[in-house]
Amino acid sequence: MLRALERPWPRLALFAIVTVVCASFVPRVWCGRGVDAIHRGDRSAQEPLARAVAHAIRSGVGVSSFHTGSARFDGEWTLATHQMAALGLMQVALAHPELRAELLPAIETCAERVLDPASTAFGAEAWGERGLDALGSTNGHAYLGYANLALGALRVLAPNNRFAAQHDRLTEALARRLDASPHGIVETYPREAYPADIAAVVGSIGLYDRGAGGDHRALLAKYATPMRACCIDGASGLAFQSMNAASGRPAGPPRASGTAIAVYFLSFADRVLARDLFAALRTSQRAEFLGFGGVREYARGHVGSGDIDSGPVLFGVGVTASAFTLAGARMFGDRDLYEAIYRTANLFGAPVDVGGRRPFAVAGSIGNAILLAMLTATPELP
Amino acid sequence: MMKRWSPRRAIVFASIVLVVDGLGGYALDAVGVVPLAVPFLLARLLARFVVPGMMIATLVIVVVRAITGARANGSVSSR
Repeated sequence: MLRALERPWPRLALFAIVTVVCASFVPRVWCGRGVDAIHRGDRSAQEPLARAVAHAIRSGVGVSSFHTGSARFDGEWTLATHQMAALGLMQVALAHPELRAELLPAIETCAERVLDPASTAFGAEAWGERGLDALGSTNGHAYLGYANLALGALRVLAPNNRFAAQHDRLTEALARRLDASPHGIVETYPREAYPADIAAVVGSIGLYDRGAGGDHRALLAKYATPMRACCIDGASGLAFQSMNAASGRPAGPPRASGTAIAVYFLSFADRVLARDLFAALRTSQRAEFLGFGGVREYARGHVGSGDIDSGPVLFGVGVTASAFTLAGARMFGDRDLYEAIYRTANLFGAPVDVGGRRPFAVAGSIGNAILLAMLTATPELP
Repeated sequence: MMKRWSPRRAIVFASIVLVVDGLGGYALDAVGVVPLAVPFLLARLLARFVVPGMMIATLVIVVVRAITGARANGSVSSR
């Protein structure tokens, strides 16, 4: 019988059987190494990730760092990179106060860059006015919610920082626009509104209250009702990807990427709504294969391909939705989902240890900033 | 293809995959993402999903060959 293995087909069968058996447990163990430490929030796990992001910010991230083929998207990614970096670094500094002095300069750089006209030129191009110079305007400029989140991250750690007055003015402008909207929908660009961006506006107001001691509780409570009525699909529980601000009706299907982003941003202002959206992601969109987790981009009954919001969609699973769901899983205590998605992030992100930093080699500056913020999202509000 | 298989080739293949997997991340971090990402990710997938099983199967075949070879030479009892 042993001699049978000298022949090709029995040998091929042996290879196939052993490979399948090993593939069922070796990769999940290999890619799950270190997940306990990062989930617990150990300094040894968070610090190298934070240093990698701080290093990237210090090295300089600008519109020229991205090559999406669209000036608007390059600008959005530049803004989002600094905003995510600021939030992620804030979370690490709050979890480990001894790192505050080291990380604060990078957060301050993020705040400075989001206020740089070049970082929001894409919005000025769309509206025909610079959002930060037109705070009295009735135009939405909801992308400024991202800038305001970065300012809020700095404000939480340094309430009297040099951007505090601009933070006050921007927050009040966004709060006024949110209050003035009959459906709780603030436009990002003319006739374009996205619940994820509205969540950034709402979250930034919540974060402002925590950092600057403001009180927008009445506004935030008022906002939640139309948000639930207009922006959330009753069947799937997911947020619609885009909205018509005038009618309050959806302009795009319910999708996981916008929902997962909204979960994270809303967590700074409205944990109940954030938890409900996360529950929808967990129950209806979760996908898993051999211990590797992901989140399906489109709700049941909807089909579509990947785009700039979702990132690549493979077998229905979206990169953005999966990465952002890490935050909900950590905030709302779904350890299994966190671990499953972490394995996927580890496999395709490829973290490497370089001089005290641990960048995800394949993620780029925006991916590293997002993963830092998601992996370190906190169950408690800052 | 299977006729040309040998333990030595399997070990060389696994070594190449593991070296690309081990060093590729550092190279990517140093020079940027685009040019090297696809072959690096392919090596990463092979290293985790294929190489462990392949090496165990190779080990089994090497052991079987040693046993059957020893039997043929009469140094191991056939019972």
